[in-house]
Amino acid sequence: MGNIFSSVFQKLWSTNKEHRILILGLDGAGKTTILYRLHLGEVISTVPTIGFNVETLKYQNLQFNVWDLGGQTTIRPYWRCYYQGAQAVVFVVDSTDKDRMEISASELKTMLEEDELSEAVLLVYANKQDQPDALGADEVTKALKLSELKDRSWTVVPCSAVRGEGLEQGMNWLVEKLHDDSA
Amino acid sequence: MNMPQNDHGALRSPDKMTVFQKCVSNFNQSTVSVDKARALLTDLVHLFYLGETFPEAEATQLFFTITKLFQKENVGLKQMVYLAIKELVPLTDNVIMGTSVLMRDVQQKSSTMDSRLYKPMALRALCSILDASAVESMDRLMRSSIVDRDGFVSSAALVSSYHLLEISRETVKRWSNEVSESMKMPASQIAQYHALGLLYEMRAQDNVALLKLVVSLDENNVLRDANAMALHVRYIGQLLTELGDHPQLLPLLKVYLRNRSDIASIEALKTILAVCKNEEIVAEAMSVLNAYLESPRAISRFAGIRILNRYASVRPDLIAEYCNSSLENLITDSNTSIATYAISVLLKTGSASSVDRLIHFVTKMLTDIPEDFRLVVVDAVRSLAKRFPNKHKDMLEFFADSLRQEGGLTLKLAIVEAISDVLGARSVDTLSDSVDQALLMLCETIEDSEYPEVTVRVLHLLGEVGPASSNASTLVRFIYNRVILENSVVRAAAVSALARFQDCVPDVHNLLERSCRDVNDEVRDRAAVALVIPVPQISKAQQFSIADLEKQVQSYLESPENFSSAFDISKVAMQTDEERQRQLVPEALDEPVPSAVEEKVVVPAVDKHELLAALVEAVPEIADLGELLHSTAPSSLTDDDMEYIVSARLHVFPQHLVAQYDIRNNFDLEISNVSMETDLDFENELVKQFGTTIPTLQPYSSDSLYVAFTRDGTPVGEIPSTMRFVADGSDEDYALDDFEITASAYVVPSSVADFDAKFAELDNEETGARQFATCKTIADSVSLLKTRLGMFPVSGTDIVPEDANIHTLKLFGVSLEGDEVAAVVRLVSSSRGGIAGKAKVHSSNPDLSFTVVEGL
Repeated sequence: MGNIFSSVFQKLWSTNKEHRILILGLDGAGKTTILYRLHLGEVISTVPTIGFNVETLKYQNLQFNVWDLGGQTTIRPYWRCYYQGAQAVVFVVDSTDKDRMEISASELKTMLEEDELSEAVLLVYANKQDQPDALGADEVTKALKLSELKDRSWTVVPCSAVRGEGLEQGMNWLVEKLHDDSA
Repeated sequence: MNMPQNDHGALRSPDKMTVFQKCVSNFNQSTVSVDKARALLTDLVHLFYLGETFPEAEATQLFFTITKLFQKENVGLKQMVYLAIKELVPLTDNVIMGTSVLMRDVQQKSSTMDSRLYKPMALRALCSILDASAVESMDRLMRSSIVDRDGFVSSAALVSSYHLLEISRETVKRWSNEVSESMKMPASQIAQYHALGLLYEMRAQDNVALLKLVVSLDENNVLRDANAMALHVRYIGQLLTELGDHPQLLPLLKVYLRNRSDIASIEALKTILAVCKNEEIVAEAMSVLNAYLESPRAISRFAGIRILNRYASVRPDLIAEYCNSSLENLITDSNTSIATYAISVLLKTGSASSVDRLIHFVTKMLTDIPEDFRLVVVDAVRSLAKRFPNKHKDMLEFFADSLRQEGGLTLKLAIVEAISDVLGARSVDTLSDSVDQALLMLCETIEDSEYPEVTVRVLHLLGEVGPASSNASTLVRFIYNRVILENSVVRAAAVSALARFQDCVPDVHNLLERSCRDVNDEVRDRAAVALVIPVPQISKAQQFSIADLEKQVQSYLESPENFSSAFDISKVAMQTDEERQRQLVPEALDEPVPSAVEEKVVVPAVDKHELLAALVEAVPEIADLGELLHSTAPSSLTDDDMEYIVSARLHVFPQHLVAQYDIRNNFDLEISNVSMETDLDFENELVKQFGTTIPTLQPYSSDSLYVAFTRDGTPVGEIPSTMRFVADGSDEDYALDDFEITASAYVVPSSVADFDAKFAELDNEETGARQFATCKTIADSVSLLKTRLGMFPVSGTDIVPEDANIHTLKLFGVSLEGDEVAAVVRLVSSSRGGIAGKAKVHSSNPDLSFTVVEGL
């Protein structure tokens, strides 16, 4: 997968700039799995993140500092400590967890109200599409009330971190948007 | 922001706020360079090491900005990040946010040199941020790290586990297999030492397990590391102290004596001399020690002579027997440190015939040796002086000589103390020239002493001994010089000394009068007091009994009528020096511990009879209930600021319980017909028999009412009580807190000689657990348990070290029927607040065990 990215990025950039990206979402949404799927190209076994993970995703001319913050209730208040300088938020939802969609929506809303994130683009991964009862992109958009967002670039991409499907599409969108912003 | 500038970068002390601000502004930028970040963190850690600290808000901010540096994969930077995090742990509660990222660092594959370097460091940082619940989730990581093939990782894991014991003992104990494995096949030499230390600590408080561990190490020569071996010897020593000359332990020590590693063998020597009573082994140790003394290597001779010096006073016979010839050679050893110790040993063990020679020798060499050793020699001569009172002349000369030489405060004070010993030991009537000379020499010392502490001490000594001297007036002149020339502390001491001369040198009176005009009030006070109250001339042999004096003064102060006449000191009992000494010596350790029966702490019989009489007077029916077995302490059923304040206590009779409610009417209204409604839920164990009423209770007065129950067995539980009364013509109910019957109603605190043996002997085990949510500290829960269970805390287990978060309380008691009950309660202060307790109760009566556990 790295190769596909690097060819895409190569076309778009030739700078050495680093981009800070946050991966946020409720506990068990699959944030850490997505981080390491992107970083190592494989699925690793994870434990609930106490605190955060950070990895530098390197491509030929480009670096992403990707921060995956723990989603447990006790850790969510600490998200704000990492907002500063973030250019993109990757918000991950467990598409099968219909009961907590509302909590997701309110966490997302609170987060996007922060000044430090006013410029950040938003990529929502509707994760766990490999599960039979997963909500589709439209339903997730509705549940998260994304259409109410103003002055923000956002998109919802259905994906499955364990199968590696959809991640690429989302990243492509992100790359494009970040390029637009810096252009 | 004035930073002290100097050319040596490393020594400059950075400004705290500057460093803080730079850290916060730089680390948040992803562009910060590794070198810059590292330099800033170095400054920060340097500040911590200087003892600086930050308020919680700033510490938290620092912590989060520092975590931003985790995106840099640079070993040098990571090292500083870890160090900084460890320093921040005590300052902020948020360090737990570092858990995942530190775990990732620990779990990196150790292929690269870098990760090999930072893995152990990350592990140490990780363990420093964990709380009890997080330790649990580290289980797998810690187990694999403990047996890691890399010595640094293994050591870091072992040492960290050692610290984690304090946080979560139970979890760490589960790693014992891995720790054993890493001890048997250590990844590095030192890891073995760490593993042994951890294994021992895990089993602490369990002598049987410790013994098993210590003995098992002998098999197959498990230990290879010298440090581990020395540690093993120490553990053997600790167990020997606790268990006596245990047959399995002594052979181990014997083997260690001849160990090829010097540290292990020297440790064994020390241990044997310190704790062993077995003469055969001690003899063998002495011959090994002698070999050290004769070794060609100075370091071995030094180690040997140091041990010898430590035990010289305890076992002088051994030294005379085994080491005398080598000692004679060592006096002239080219290494002065060795020679000094040799002298010291000889002084401590010397015989009357050799004292003169030794003193002469010592005087000669004293100038050549460093101060620390001079102190050793002075102490040795001092103990020699105690043993040979007829050699005082020589000794005083020796001390006088040493006092004249240059020396530090400790040394000078030690010399003055020694002189004071010698002078004090002599009876006043045998004063000789040498004492006079010594006194003059002391005067000389204070003329140019650079230490006020020494001067004060000498002045006191002159005041004690001087008045009896033949040239007292000369001494007064010297002392008065101090009054003129010195600071107030010394002046005050000098005035006190002068006061002692009033009887023998009349002019002193004038001098003291002058001091009444001193600028310092302490000096003035002392002079004034000395003029009014002459120093009582009490011979040294006879002194007031301090205890009696205290008692008499206390009773004098109790009633103001006494003040019309002065306190009569002649009534105070006198005691001889000897008696006083005997009192000062703490009770001998080997005094037999009184058996449980003798020490039973029961309510004194006379009180019980009086109490029963009082009860019968109040309620005649109580006379029919039989003998009063026991009464509990009152417990209050209301808050102290309510309209009615009620407390209750329980009287236990053979077949009955009588609850006594003490009621105080704290309200501005008379109440009448007061009775107690008890809503029992005890089935047949407790049945209400009768209750009394209080006809009227005036405002602000108190009275008691009684409720009697028949009891079957030993019921425990709550008696919900409601007070009923008539106030202002209408019936009122007043609900009280439940009156709790705990085990303390049936168990009397009692002491036991050997608790552990008793605990093992009693069966009928019951276990129970309880959360003490209301207790903030372990000490709170201990005192709660003591009163609830009515048992006696054995061997001081009710004393909880201030910082302990784990404590074991051992309680013992005897039931009213004479059954013994022993309880071991493990108390853990949980990180979430509150205290958790787990009790194991053994008793000769199964019902009793149950009652006590229920009573928790």
